[in-house]
Amino acid sequence: MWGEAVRIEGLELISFRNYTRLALSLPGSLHLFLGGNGQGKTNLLEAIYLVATGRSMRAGRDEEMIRWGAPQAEVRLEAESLRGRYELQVVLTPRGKRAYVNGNWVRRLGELLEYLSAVLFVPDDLHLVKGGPEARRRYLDGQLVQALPAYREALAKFQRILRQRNRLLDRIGQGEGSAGSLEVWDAAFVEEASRVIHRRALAVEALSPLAAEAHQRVAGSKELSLRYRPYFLEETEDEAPTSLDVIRERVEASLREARPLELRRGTSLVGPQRDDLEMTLDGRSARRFASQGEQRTVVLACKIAELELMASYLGEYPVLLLDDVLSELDPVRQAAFVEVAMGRTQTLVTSTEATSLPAGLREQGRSYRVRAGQIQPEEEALRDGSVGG
Amino acid sequence: MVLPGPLARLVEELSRLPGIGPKTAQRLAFHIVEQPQERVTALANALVEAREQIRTCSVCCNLTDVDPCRLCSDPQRDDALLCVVEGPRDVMALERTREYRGRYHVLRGAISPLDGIGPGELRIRELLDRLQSGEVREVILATDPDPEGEATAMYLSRLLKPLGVKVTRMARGMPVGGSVEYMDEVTLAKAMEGRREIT
Repeated sequence: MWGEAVRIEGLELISFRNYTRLALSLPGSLHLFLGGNGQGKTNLLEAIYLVATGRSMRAGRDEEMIRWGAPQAEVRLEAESLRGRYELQVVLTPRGKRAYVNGNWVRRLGELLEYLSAVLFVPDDLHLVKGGPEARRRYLDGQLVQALPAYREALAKFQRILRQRNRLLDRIGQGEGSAGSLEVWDAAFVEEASRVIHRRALAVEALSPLAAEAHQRVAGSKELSLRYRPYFLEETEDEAPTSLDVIRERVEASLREARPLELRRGTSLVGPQRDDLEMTLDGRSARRFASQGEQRTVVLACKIAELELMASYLGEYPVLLLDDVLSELDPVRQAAFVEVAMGRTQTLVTSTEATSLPAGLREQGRSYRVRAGQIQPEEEALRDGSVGG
Repeated sequence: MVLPGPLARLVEELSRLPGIGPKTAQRLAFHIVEQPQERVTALANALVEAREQIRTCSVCCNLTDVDPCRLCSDPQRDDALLCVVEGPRDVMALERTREYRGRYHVLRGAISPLDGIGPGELRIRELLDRLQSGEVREVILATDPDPEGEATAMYLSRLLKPLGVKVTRMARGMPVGGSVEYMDEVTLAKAMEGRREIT
């Protein structure tokens, strides 16, 4: 049933991607955006993701989000959550982006993460199980930076220290610095690396039962289990330590051990940038043994668990953005996902064809036709006779 | 439209300044050429004079027009306390408190391999020279609480502690006059972490 959930009430785009101007109000909990490829469906979700996180989910330069020939782009969004009503705004110019909350400029884009929480599910996520570990780290980081401000701080610091340390190792390798100068970075490296690992390990502990439960509901068989594997874990070790002190000791020891090799290679060889999230089905590695169908079920379960974990951290359900993924699933999985996710959150779905969406979904929500940067409610589109093609 | 040569040169010079993009540079340039001659001369003179007369204090390495600078030559200040900061603007900020009565040392930067700044690029030799006399009893490390500032503080504390001088680091936590309700989450989390027992 409808519990506490973040709700987007209105969205306004100016010169954003292929939208010249768009004003959309979004009453209700389910919205379906239908249209062909290249019409602007993903751009719409991108705009929401941008004001939620301060960045696009797409690779590429920010400037590309500005409509061709326009001096700047603007996204404005009104929402209501436990924080009350607020308006978020991002202005993109060729020289950078600026964010505003309720009309006030915010110094750091990261502050946007305090407001609209969102879970995004895109076709790329379907590679979560078989893909490289960086996709699984991104999966964890995506939820933690939104839910835990202290994690966001630790991760940003860690990444900065890692870059500094890598540059220093590189310089030392070229004979431009002493190995002793590494030490001033090492203490901070150990500290922030340990915090990142600690938070991720705790999050996975909470995530695993949620994912197992969701998997049970979608698949009906096989037990899904998630385990965080810090880089320092031995093959023979099953569980990652969850005590910050123990993690700190392990990181410190590994750093000491890796020092000679790091100096030779000229880059950092230890740290949470090498961690992984292990997924098992009935105790067997999903990455190695899961079938195509099983992988998809695991991804679904992970996405539902993400939604639940964020809701438990934040006290309310985030907005759910589904970009063309429902059509990738068979009707059974579609139905299971819809049943679990919908009704708790405000959900925005894009799809190329209405017929590939679960039966009943269209009756529950509002449908819109997206064409060449214009969005029209389906009833109007039908009336205007502009459907087809 | 092609800008007349002198105007184009002005735009180019202005756009080299930090934080000034081509558009702002143009706006400033057009503004400048429409000012009365004496205003522009005053501006030009101010630029040249500032560059000519401002130099580095031979004691604290702050920017100054007299050497040693006023803070270093002020007899009222406590020679036993030395506060180490990254830049001249940090000195100004701390001076505004009117609480700190010790001396300063300005590093003129922070360690940052990404920017090619190592300890050798900072005014650290000058700092060590100042500690020779033994008058300084406490060195307060007031570099920024970001990774570069922390690394610099770490470097200095390792360098200075063996000299027998007391080395302290500025605390961080709740800003005074703020209320918990309106504090940003990161500051709050850090303040929570650095909590102390009330004595």
